[in-house]
Amino acid sequence: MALLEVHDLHKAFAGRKVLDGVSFAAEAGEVLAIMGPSGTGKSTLLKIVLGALKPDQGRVVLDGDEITALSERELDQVRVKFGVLFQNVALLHSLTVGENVALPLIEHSPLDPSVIEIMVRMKLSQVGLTDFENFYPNQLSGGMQKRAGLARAIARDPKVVFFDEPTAGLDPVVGQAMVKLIRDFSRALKITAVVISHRVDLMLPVADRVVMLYNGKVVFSGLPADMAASEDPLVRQFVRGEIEGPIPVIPAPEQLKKALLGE
Amino acid sequence: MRRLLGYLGRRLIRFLEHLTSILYLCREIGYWLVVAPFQGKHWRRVEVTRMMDEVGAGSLPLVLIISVALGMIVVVLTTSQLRDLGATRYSAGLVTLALMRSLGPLFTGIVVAGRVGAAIAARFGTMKVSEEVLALESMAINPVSYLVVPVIVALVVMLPCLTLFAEAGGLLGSFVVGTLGMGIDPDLFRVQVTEHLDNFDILVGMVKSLTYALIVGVFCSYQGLTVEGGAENVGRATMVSVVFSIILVVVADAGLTVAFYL
Ligand SMILES: Nc1ncnc2c1ncn2[C@@H]1O[C@H](COP(=O)(O)OP(=O)(O)O)[C@@H](O)[C@H]1O
Ligand SMILES: [Mg+2]
Repeated sequence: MALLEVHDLHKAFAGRKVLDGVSFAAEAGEVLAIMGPSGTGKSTLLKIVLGALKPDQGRVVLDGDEITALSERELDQVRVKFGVLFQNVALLHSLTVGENVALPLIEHSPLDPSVIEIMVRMKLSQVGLTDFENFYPNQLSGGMQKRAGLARAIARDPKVVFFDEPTAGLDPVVGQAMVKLIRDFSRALKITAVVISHRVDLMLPVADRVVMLYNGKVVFSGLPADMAASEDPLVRQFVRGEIEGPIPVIPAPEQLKKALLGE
Repeated sequence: MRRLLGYLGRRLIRFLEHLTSILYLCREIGYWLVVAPFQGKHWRRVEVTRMMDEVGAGSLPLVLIISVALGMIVVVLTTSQLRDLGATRYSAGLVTLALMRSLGPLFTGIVVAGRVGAAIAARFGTMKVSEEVLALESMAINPVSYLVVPVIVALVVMLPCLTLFAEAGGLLGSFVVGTLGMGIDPDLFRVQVTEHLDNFDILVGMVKSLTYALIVGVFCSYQGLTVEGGAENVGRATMVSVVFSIILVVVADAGLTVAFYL
C-alpha cells in the first residue's frame, strides 16, 4: 500500500470546478512531483491533503489514516506524520528562526527545553542554517527562509513532507540548490517528498515520479523521462514551455479579471 | 421591490452566516479558555504576557491622555451650565457620576477597540493571508488556542485595569481644571467626589469593560482570521474591525447604562 493515496478528489468554489476527479499515490521514500500550470488547483489539492479543506467528494489516505474522514481533534493526531513547507514559507514573524523550529516540538512533546534546543540546532544544521537560530525570518534571504521553513517542517521527523512551490521567488542557482536539498533529504532521511511545482526544468531531474494536473484533472502520471518524451500535446507544451498548443496563453476572461482586479 | 427584497434577503443570509461563524468561534474560545486547561492544555503563558504588555502598557498613555482631557471637558461643560443656576458646587459630583457610570468605561473601550482591535485584526489577517494560520493548523496547533485565547485573556484582564486608570485620570483632569480654571473650592471638590464615588458604579464599570473586552477580542479576531486573498483585504478587515467594534462598544454601553441606571 502506498504511503499517500488520493482517490477521486472533487472540489468546486462557488460552482467553479477546481479539482475534477484527481487520483494518485505516493510511495514511501520517493520524490513525487505534482506539476501543472498556475491556477490548476495544486494548492487546493494540498489543503485538502492536509485536512485544512474538505473536498466535495473523494478520499485521502495517509499512512492508513483517512484524512478526509477525521474530526479536527483526530486530525491533530495524524498531523505529526507530515510536515509542510508553504509557498510563502509561513514562518511566524514574531518568533526567531530557532523558536519557529522549536514550536512544533514544544507544543507536542514533553521534552526538556535543553533537549529541544539541541534538536533545533540539529535541524538547523541539517538545512545549513547553523548560526541563524536567533535571527528573525525577515532578516533572512528568500532561500534561507525556505531552508528555515524546511527545518520546521522536519522538526517532528515526519514521514511525508509537502512542498508548495519551493522554488518560487528564488534565483536559478538557489532554486537549483533547493530541489537538490529536497532530493538529498528524501534519500538521507527516507522521507517521502511531495513537491508541488510548475518548474519542469528544476523538477524533472530530481523527481522519482511525476503527476501532471491540468484543469483539475490528472493528464500525466509516470516517470520524468516518460514525461519529457511524451507526445501528448498538453504535456509536450507544458514541458517545453511552448506558446502554441492546447494550454491557452492568453488567460480566459475570468482569469484576466482576477489578475487585473486581484480578487 | 422584488430586487430590494432579494437584496435584503441576501444581506440577511450573509449576516446570519457571520453570526453563526462568530458563535462557533465563541464556542472554540470558550473551550480553549475554560475547558482545555483542565485537560492539561494550558494557556500559552509567553503569548499571554506578551499580549498583556501590548494591551495594557501599550494603551495606558493613550487612555490617560484621553481621560484627563475628557475630565477637563466634562467639568467645563457641567460647571458652566450649573453656574447659571448658581449650583456650581454640584458639578464635581456630576462629573464623578458621568465618569464612573459611563464615560470612563466607554472611552477606554473605544480607545482599546481602535488601538488593540486594529492591531489584532491586522496581525491575524496578515498571518491568514501569508499562510501562517494554515501552518499552525498543519503543525496541529489550534489557531484559536495559540492566537485568540491570549488576546482575550489580555483584554479581559487589562481593560478593567485601564478603565480604573481612565476614571482616575478623568477625575484628575476635572479636578485641575475645575479648581484652577472654574474656581471650584478644592475641598468642596474632594467632598463631592467622595460622596458620589459608589462601589456599585465601580462594579458596573468593571462589568462594562469586561463586556467590551469580549466584544473587541472576539469581533476583531474573527475579522482577522476570516480574511481571504491578499493584503488589501487585510486593510479592509482592519477598517471593518475598528468601525464595528467601536459601534458595538457604544451600543453596548447604551444598553448597559440603561439596564443598570434607568
Ligand atoms: N478559498 C477559495 N475560494 C474561491 N476560489 C479559490 C479558493 N482557493 C482557490 N481558489 C481558486 O481555485 C483555483 C486554483 O487555485 P490554486 O489551488 O491556488 O492553484 P495553483 O496552486 O495550482 O496555482 C484558482 O482559480 C483560485 O482562484
Ligand atoms: Mg499554488
